[in-house]
Amino acid sequence: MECPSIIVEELAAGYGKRLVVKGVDFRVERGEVLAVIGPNGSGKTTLLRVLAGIIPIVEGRVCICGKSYKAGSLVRAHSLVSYAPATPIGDPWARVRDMLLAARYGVSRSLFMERDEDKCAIEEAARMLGIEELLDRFFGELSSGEKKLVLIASAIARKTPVVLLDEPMAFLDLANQSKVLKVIRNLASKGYIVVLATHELHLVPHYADKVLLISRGVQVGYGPLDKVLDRRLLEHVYGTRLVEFTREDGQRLFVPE
Amino acid sequence: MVNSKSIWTAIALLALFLVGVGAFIAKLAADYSKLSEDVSKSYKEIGEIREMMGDVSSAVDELNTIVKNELGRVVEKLDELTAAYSEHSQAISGIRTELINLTSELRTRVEELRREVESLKQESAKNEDLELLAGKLKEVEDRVKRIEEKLSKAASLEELKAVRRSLDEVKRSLVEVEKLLEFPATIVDAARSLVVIPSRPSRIVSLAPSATEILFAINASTQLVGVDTFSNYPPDVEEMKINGSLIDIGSGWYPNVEKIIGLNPDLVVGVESIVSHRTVKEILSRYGIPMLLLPDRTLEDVYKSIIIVGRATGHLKEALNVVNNLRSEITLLRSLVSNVSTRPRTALIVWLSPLWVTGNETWMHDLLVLAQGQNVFSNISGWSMVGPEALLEAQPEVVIFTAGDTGITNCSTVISTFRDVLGEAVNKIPAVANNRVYCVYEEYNDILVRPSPRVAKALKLLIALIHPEVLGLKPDEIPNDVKPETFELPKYEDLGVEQSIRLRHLAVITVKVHH
Amino acid sequence: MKHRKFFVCALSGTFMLSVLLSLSLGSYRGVGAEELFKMLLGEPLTPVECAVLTRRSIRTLAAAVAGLGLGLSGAGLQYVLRNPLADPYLLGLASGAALGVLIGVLIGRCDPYSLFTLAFAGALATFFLVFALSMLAGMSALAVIVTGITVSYVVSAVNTVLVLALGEKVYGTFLWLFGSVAYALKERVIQSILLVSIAGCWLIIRSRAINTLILGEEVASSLGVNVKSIRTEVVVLSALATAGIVAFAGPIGFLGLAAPWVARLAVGSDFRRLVLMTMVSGPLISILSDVVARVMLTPQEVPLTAVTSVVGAPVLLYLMIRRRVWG
Repeated sequence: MECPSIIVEELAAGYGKRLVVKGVDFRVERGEVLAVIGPNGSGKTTLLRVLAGIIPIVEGRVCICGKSYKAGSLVRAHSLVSYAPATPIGDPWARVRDMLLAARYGVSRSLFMERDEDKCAIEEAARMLGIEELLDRFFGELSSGEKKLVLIASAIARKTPVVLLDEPMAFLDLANQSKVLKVIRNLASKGYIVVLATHELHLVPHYADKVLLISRGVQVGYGPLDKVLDRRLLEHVYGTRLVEFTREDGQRLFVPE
Repeated sequence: MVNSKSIWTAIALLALFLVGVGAFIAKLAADYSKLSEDVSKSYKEIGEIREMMGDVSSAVDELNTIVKNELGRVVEKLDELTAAYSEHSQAISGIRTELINLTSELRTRVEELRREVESLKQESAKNEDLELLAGKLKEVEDRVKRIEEKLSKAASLEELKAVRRSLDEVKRSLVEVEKLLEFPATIVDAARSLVVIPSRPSRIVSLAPSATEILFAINASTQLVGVDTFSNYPPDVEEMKINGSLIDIGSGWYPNVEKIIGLNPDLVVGVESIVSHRTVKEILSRYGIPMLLLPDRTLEDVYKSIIIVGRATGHLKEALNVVNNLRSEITLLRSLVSNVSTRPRTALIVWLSPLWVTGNETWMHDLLVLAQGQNVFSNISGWSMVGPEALLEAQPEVVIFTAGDTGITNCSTVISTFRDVLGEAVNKIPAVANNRVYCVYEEYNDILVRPSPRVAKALKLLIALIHPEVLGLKPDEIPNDVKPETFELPKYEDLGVEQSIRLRHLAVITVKVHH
Repeated sequence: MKHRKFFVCALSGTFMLSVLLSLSLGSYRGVGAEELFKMLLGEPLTPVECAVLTRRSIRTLAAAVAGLGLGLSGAGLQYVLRNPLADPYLLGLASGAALGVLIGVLIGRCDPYSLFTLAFAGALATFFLVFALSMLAGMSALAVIVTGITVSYVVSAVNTVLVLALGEKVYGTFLWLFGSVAYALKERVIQSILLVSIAGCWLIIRSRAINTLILGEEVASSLGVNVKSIRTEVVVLSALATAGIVAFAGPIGFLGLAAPWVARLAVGSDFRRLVLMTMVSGPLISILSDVVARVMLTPQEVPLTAVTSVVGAPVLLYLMIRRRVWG
């Protein structure tokens, strides 16, 4: 299924009466990757949870793939959106294959058991992330990085036009980080919309088309990379001094001092 | 994938199997419905019989009148006249006429009764008992006819005496007829439910030691086929269990239903106080097996149980005898303690740790009161747990512990157990200070803890322990460990009590038998 | 994979054998395998044989229903409460039913009908207390578990006081208090079948949604599963099914824990397969346990919990050992 865009206007959301994000505005088009950055507790995960339809919109409007969701409602676009959370949680006694198949809920065309197309989808996702050997292992016996890859694979196996990844690089070694990078680019090139929250600022230029910077729930920067990835702005938001490098192709990278 | 295929194969196999099970259940259900049809049919028959029971019971009344009045009058008259005969030989023809009149009256009554039964037989469904009854009545009628004939020819004293003997035979036949009318018996048991026993039971199962003892006491032991594990009295029971003439159906607390059904019983006897017996009764009713729940709370319940069992098994006379003897023995024992000056405070303990004591509304309490003891825990209902301090507070002068199956073999253990929890305060308990803590074992334990026909013996034991002086014993003659080897209960003969006294105290018994 | 196939076939085969075993074994030796086959071949039985076989069938059916209901409830709860050690009695049903029975003894209503009704009512009343409290606490997995355990403790305390106060009158209910199908009544079993099949059908219908919980609650709700409502459904339905079972068979321990785990060892964690396999493993364990319970000390009846624990304990130990390996 095609999905032209995600439009978020004046979004506010939170838990109970406490608002964690407010006044978020952005727009992601088909084939684009949006990186959401910001310090810990700034509301990145909350924003993704709103888009994944886990918590309701409190204020503002979200428009996904042409469907609009108003304040007070849940973003019920579960068959269009996939989500991989930051911490790899799952049933330790479940086999990886079963987990990936379980993730096909809501997108599979069969009601009870999966068909061959579901099996193809999970095998393809496993191949993309290089976890074919893990398919018959128990989730509980995997390392944190492998678990993380399994969750990303379960989101990708759904083949939804929108993929939400919360800190996809966490727990991963360098080889796996580059594998995930490639997967993200690959998805974007296929016309998927990818929204991800991340702390690895130095990797952002490798895959992101747009960056959304939020601080304490408030949007402080949005736009193309060079506009938002400004050292002084970042130093102000993160509250720490940064060192700036310029790569051969002109991209700027930031690392803590 | 292989595994999903294997699952579907398994499911298919299972489905196949379930179809098989379904067929099996259907088959069994058909058999069962036939069985329950039989059961309900026999229930219906019983219902019909119960409807006619009104008529039949009037027949019983009539028979009783015949046996008591008519026949009695005939026999009396005959005796009177034969006595007179020697003096007034010319009166023989007069006697004869009078006798002929009386017997012909008797014959007409029996004939009427027989016709009545005959017509009942035609109205209702086939019933063997009624047929048997009609046959017996016919027999009686014929006999009376023969007597009439003999009378018409009788000319001498010898011949008249022969007629008298024939009349006695008629009397016996009528008693047999009366016995036949006892079934179907309908009894209201302790669960207040109506139990119908279609015919004299010949395969009885007892679920409690006290019920077994009752069945043996009223001579119904030959009808018994199964007993619970705890039944051990009379000693024949153990023997019969070993040689297989009595089958063990499991603990009385949780009887084995399958075992009971497998014995194909026509009467099961349980007790009211055990909750599981209610459920067993409900299950057995599905298979058309009547079950009685005997009352087993108070001493009065013991008498009631004996009579209920007597009525249900066709041994009512024996049951009445047993109750009479029990009551008279108890009355005798009461008369022994009627003049005692004190009523010692007594604690009846049934379990040591935790401490379980006997309260009121129990036959043990009733016996204790009759033994002129004072139950220190009479404010408790039934048997209950109390703290060790309650014993100190209650200040019993006598402590009796039924140590039968608790594993305790020496009474000093009991005192040391008290000492462990109460410390030296244990000596403040009068019973401990005066060495009047008794443990009863073996047979003496069983007679105390069972609501059986042996309660009179239990009362004697209690009197021996509480008021030894009235039985001619000194308190220090009684050992702390009371068992048959160490202590023998004095016999009535040794007490100088005449057997005749016992019979004077025959109590009036009301039998609650519902037709 | 071969390993799994073997397990499935072995379990199904043993299940079929266990039914036949249960029908041909018992304390009455007059009815055995021979009579069973005679009946299956259509030969007439004597009334006594028929009666004994009927009784055994009711007993087997009761054990099967108990195993089925407790197994399914346990499986459902283990998933929706995200706790591999969840068990249907976690919801306060066992102590509630026991309270009902003790109240029956207290007020002198000891006939089987009253006791069944009181046990059922007691179980449901306690459950609704647990349910209301966990609703107040937000209906999270932890809320259900903690309120269930807390309420169970409170009710058990009341039970202990009642047992002490009632004294010897309680003796006759002990077999029930430790779980047994020896005195199961046909009507009660059939009533429970209704509740169990409602719960079972619902679990099968919702099994795909429940299955997503192996990815964690967060992912499951992003897939469009309303975790809270599915938890409520499963909790309520398994409570109903368990209450029906507890009322006729008493609180049979360990079944609700062991049956789903035996199934899981056979077919893995996929809930759809698991729920089907539990429908075999639950009745299998309970029927075999009941056969052992009636044969072990024949003619004495042994409480089922004593036997199921012997089956359940090794499973739990296996779990512990695996858990240590995976942290």
